[in-house]
Parts: sequence; C-alpha cells; structure tokens
Amino acid sequence: MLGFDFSVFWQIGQAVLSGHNPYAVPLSVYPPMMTLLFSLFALVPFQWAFPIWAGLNFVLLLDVLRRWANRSYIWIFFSPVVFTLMTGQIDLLFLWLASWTTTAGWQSIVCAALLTLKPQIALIVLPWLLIRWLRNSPRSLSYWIMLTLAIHTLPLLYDRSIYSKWLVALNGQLGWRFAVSSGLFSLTTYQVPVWILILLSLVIAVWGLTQSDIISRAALLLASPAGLWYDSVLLVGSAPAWLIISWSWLAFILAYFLKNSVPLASIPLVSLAWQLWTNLSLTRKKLQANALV
Amino acid sequence: MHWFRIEAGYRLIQDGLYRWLRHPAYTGLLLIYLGLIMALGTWLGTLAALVLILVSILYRINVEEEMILDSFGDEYRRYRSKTWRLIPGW
Repeated sequence: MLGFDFSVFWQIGQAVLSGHNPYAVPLSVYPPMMTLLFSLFALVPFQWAFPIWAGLNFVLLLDVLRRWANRSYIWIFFSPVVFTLMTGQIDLLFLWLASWTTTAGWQSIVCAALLTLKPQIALIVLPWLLIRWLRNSPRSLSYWIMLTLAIHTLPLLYDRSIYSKWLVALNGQLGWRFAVSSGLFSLTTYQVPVWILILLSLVIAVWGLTQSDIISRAALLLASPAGLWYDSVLLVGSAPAWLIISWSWLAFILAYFLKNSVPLASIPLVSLAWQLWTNLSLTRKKLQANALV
Repeated sequence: MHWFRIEAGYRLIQDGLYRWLRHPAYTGLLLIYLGLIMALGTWLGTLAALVLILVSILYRINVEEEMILDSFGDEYRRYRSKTWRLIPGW
C-alpha cells in the first residue's frame, strides 16, 4: 500500500519520458496534460521520488491547515489524509490548489484551471465557483475557460492521438469506479437501482450549489459517481476536527469489515449534517434575538 | 518497476530540435512547470521548484547520457560536442 498510487504516477511519467503510450500503464486514467506533468516524478528513481513527493505533500498540507483550518493541525490524522500521504495520491496537491480558489485575484483562476487536471476533484470544487463567477465576475469565468483550454490543448503538441487513447482507457475503467465510489453511488453494491441514485444525486447536487462552498463540497462529494475515499480530503476544516476525524476512522473500519465503500459515504454526510445543524442553530438564535428586540 | 533502457533498433536522432538541443523534451518540461508555478505568483515556490526540477533533470540527463555513450560511443561524442544540453548556450 505504501506508495502504491504514486508508483502508478511514476510509471505513467516513465512511459511519457520513454515515448510510450501513458495509457498502457494499468489504472492510468488521468487527463493527457496530467500524464505529461507526471513525467517530472520519473526523472529520478522511485525510491527517491516517493519520499520527495511525500515530503512536498506534507508541506502543502501544513500550508492548507494554516490558512484554511485555523491552524488546526490535528487534521493530519483525518483518515483520507493519512491514506493519501501513505499511498502517494495527488489529492493533497489538489486540496492546496482548491484552497486558493476562494481568494481574490488571478491565482484563483490559475488554480481553478489546474483543478481540471483531476476531473473527480474538479466536479466537486468547481461548479459552485463557476456559478459564482458567472453571476459576479464573468471576466474571471472567461479567463478560466481560455486558460483551461490552453492547458488541455498543450498535450496535442506531444501526441495528436493522445485524447483518443485517453478515451479508450476511461472506457475500460468507468464501471469499476462506480462501484468503489465513496458517495451515494456506492449503494449500487446493495443493488439500489442506478436511476434512483442519479435522481437523488441530482437533487442533492442542485441543492448544494445554492448553499455555501463548504456545504456544496460535501453535497457534491456525496452526489459524485466518481469521487473516491481520498477525495474526502476536501472536507478538511468543514466541521469540528474531533467529529470528522473520529467518524472517518469508524467509517474506514466498517468499510474494511463490510468489504465495500458504503460506510465511507457517511463522511461527507456527517459534514453536511454538522453544517445544517450549525445553520439551523444560528437561524434560531437570530429569531430569538429579533423576538427580544 | 522499470527504469529506462536503450532497446534494440533505437537510433540517434540528430535532426529537428535535436540539431541544437540534446534534450528538448526536458526543456519543454522545465518551461511547462516554471510557467505553471510562476502563474501561482509564489516567488519562493518558483525558486524552490526551479532548483528541485533542475537538479532532477540534470540527474536524469547524466544517467541517460552515460547509457547513450555506452551504446553509441563516438557517434554520440561527436553529436554532444556540437549541441547544447538543455537550453541554447548551455
């Protein structure tokens, strides 16, 4: 398990540097531009690359916790964070990018464009942001579209058939991803009809997008058919650390014994429940204060 | 996991960008990364990334060139004497 996911990225990078098809590597489903960026990892042997990557991830995590979670460093023990660090996944890098999208200025546009390099994360973080830009800052939205197109066009200079290779690789993996997703779609394990899940997910997603960015992240994580357990790192700072961290380990243990990812869907659900309860308490307090006046 | 190797049938390419640079792919990688990191606006990050990426690329180039020298010998020595490594002038 240690460094397993990173070994896939390293091999993809190795394939790119050697001029081979990066999608010939098993489990390679990242967009073409990401496969080019993975080639940085493959410049040095795996036994050097992984510790460097793990160290960089840890620094990025500390930076996110400093800015996003009120210096609450206890989040290091959040089970998806531990899993991401151990396997060498790239979600902490994307968490770091996501943390800059809420700032003003062009850094948010650059980071939002880079988030599209991992579509599973982009589906969770970007819809809320893009709707806000559409309403309040159409110029930011148009810059984002141009930058995103530029980023994803670049790999065509390297290989004109790279996108058809990617589609072939995606085709072979989508069914499998559905069953191991850590949102509502994990219920397909218990033969819940897909149309019910699609309907429920749409309702949750649309509702989530009308709420705050934290609520929308938890809602979209729950509704996403592609989100995996480690994508829950996006919930860092979304509820009290003691609640989410302990719940995440409980869910992990349950998932381990049940041998499916259904219990992991409860992590965004708990975050969502906490947010709603907090909002409800605030509204009640406001109403009481108004009544006193 | 495989590191890289020179397979049977490989030949030394000396035309196109390779007429001037021995490792244009690494030049491209360096430019992509520097562009992305500079766009984030962190100068300290850009400097740290430049050092880390440059050291990694130079390490890889050294290992690769040793292997190519073993396979292509004098042909590569001649090619190396009239080309730059990564960027024009260097």
